[in-house]
Amino acid sequence: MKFLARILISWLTCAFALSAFAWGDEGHRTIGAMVDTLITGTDAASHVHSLLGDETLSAASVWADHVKGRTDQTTEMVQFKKTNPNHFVFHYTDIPFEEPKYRDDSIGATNVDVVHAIPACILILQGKPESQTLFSNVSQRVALRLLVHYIEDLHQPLHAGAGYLDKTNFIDPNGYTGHYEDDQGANRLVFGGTNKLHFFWDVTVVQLDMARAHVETPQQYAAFLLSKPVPDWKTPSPLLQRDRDWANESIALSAKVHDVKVLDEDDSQLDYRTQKPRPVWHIEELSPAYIDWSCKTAEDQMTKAGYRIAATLKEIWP
Amino acid sequence: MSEVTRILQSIEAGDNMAGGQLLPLVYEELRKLAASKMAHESPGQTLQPTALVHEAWLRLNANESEKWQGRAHFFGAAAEAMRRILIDNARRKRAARHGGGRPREDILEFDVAAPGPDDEILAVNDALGLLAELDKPKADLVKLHYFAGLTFEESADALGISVSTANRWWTFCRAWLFDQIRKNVIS
Repeated sequence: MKFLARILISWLTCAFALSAFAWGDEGHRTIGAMVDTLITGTDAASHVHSLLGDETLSAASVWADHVKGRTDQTTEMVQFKKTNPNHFVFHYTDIPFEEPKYRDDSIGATNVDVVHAIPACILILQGKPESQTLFSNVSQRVALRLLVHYIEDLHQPLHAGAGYLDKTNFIDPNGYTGHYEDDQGANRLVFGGTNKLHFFWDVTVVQLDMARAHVETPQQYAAFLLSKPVPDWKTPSPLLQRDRDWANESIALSAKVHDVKVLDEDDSQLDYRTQKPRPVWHIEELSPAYIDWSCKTAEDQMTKAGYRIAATLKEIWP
Repeated sequence: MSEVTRILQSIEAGDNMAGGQLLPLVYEELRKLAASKMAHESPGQTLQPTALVHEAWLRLNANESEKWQGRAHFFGAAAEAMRRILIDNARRKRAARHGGGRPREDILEFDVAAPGPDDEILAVNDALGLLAELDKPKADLVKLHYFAGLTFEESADALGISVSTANRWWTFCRAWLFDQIRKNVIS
């Protein structure tokens, strides 16, 4: 039966996989669709419409991932990449999951990570001139798409917390003197041969939860999530620091996400960017309980992200 | 006019009973086709289900003028027939593996390339029955794409849906079947 479980999860995670971005296209579009609904009739909706025209937030929420591609690139995308060549790093931070909260001097934090990118987007939307320190030549229209996407990303636990390993043991690298490697937000943790734990959280878990809800489209899934009791999403911090609270939540969740047994280290793999040796770690098969918890957690996080983005937009444009 | 064409025309004309006549005909044709191919192939050759389905369509409609008519119905029947063939083969192989009978010459009368290991095929098939009760069009897509190996374009054409809908349905089916199979495994 373990064999069957293995082939099935491979079937689900590998075959015809289309996207490996946080929450995948479906998840991002779903959260965006929730926000479209939640701001209906508000001043925020008018401002969104004035910036995006007929483009919904559901559609806009995948722009920041699609700009990473090579096909179907609009002039706006080409321009953004030209002036912001390191845009890949705005989507995540790699705080060790053992850390109780995000801090700027932690290993894994940078001044261009998602926690810094979100307030930078807000400042651009507020028309503050000091806002172009992190980005270069970003219009309000693009900033809106980025803001929605980055807040969505930050709610995927593995876009905030990462594992650091010495051999097969997770360690907190802050103050650690031994040799360690990072797992790149569980991109280097694999199960069933080649299935990345990060991909499972980006894509598989969303598709699985959509199937459980018996919905097919992001709009249907958004309606399903909005029909559930409103989660405890409010955060009291000032607007420009609120994403640190969200990061803290995600880091805490990423510790549970990393509650997997590491079996062995494989040193034969190359880093796809540098082509230098970089280890991957094989982990135990995901248990049914882990998969069920993942679905529930993803649902909660996506729902919170939807309410929080809507509240953020309403605060920017009261 | 071939028997298949006559039945397809009856279906097109709204004869609901004709659908039931199509399946055994297509099933038999696929088996005959596979057997004849194996007779001319070297031992150990594996037949591709997609190729069999397409060739069966061409053979059964080779001389008909309106080749396009009833193509969707034919592929639907062929997908169901192919599912049965693959399930039969998987069950036979499993029975032989478990000592459920002495090996017979006709067990591997022909070997059709399966979409996955035998255990997976049988598990998908078991879950497919429940999916068909809940959502028959999506179950039909699984038969066309998974069991008969048709592309999304061909499957969409057979089901009368867009390719993007077929893609979306497949994403849904894959996740739904996984979940159902997992429940079956646990229980």
